[in-house]
Amino acid sequence: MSRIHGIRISVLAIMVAGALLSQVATAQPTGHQSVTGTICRVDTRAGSIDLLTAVGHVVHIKRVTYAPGAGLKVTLRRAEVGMVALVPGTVCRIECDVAPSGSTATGVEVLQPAPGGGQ
Amino acid sequence: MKAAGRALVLLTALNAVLVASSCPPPVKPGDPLRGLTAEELARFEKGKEVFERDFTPETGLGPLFNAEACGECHETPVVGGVGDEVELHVSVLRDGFCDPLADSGGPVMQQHVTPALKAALGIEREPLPTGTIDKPNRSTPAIMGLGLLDAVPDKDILLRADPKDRDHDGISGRPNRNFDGRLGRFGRKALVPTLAEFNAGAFTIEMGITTPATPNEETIGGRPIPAGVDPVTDPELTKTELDLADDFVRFLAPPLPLPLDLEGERGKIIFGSIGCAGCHAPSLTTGDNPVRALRYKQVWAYTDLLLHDMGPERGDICLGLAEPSEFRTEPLMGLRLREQFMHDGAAKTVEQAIELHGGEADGSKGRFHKLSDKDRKAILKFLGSL
Repeated sequence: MSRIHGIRISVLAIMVAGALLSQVATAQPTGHQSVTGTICRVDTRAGSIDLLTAVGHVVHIKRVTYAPGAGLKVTLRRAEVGMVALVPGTVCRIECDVAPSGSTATGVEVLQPAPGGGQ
Repeated sequence: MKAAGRALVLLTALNAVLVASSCPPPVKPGDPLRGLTAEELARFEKGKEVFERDFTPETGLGPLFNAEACGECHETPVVGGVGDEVELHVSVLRDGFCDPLADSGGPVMQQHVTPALKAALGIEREPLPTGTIDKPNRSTPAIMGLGLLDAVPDKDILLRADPKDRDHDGISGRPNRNFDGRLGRFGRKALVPTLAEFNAGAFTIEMGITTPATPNEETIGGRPIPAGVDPVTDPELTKTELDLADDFVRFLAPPLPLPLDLEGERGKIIFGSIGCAGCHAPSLTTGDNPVRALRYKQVWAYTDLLLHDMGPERGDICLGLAEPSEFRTEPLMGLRLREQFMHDGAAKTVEQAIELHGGEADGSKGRFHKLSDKDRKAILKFLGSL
């Protein structure tokens, strides 16, 4: 009797865990993402980059975070250029790790420097 | 001899009947492109139904919107045409960077709200971002023939660019770029790279209809939509419906210019000789395309799809790389069907529109002023045929 009871509990536990995992998987995607857009704001203290992206005239802002002291790799034509290159107007591709808490940058490639070098 | 004459008349009449019956009728405004397959024609017709559909809050309209159907603004003289509506766009230029105010609801501000949103927030339209003014206006863009413009290769557009005016003709077209760096060509500031994106974005921006390409509702001046105001599950348009509507626009034929008499032909030549064709390049050629009717076609659009400085008096907002006074050369195909002219609808006649040209167009406008009345009339005759 107790063995049957144990099996029932195990089956129930597996079902609940499966349901929870599938919910987590659908509601909170994780993995890697590449976002291309124009920088509209960089907050070096908080460690965030806001990127403009658009479909037609629907314009959105995608926020990507980074660890301010960790030395985010920023390149332009394969040469490292540092965070100073990331100014409003810069077109870049940001490689991100996507987690439930948001997107974290792992590297930035500058595709087009800001007109006039930015401000 | 008499019999021979009669036979000649009979043969001529027979020939005329044969020619008339073998020629397809001329393309009318709102017709599809010639040479579409039966399947493409069926998609054009089904897409027209989506284009004409009146949306309601129950089918996804809003909560912010400018129109209840695509056909509400694109209605004259037929579905797929133009309208007399104007809408409001905003942005600000800060230290050389153009901010489209996306976090405050920009760049397109919607002028209507659903009853549910009005009840929740007490607003009649999207609130303007701080520091912007109730300007600039944007008139309804003409969309006939845009499928052909979509099929023009990027390199052909870039070939015409002369940002530093190296040929010293006073005209210095330059390309705009989307936020991801791709070449733009649609919209008054040429921000949008493809027709598919232009169309998908229009569903969301103009009607508040989310699509698989634009699955998120617009914010209310940057704030999220209050709970319960828009209960329809996103996306509110299926991919099939979006693709059909896109095909309707893509397959809309450009209006066929009216036949020119001698005066009109002369006007066409003068149009080129005084420099108008420097920006309003008479034709572009499409590249390879999966749709045969769009493949390697010459399109008489009278645009170079580049940005040109129209002078500070016409300037309003920046967008992408486009500065406030820069606008994409407006295609002139179908000009005769329009009720208002210029990006903001400020001109009610073609003559007024010419007068509102400035900046890079100053030289051409000056030469237009110096023309005799007869020559000016000829140019207007030509433009009236487009």
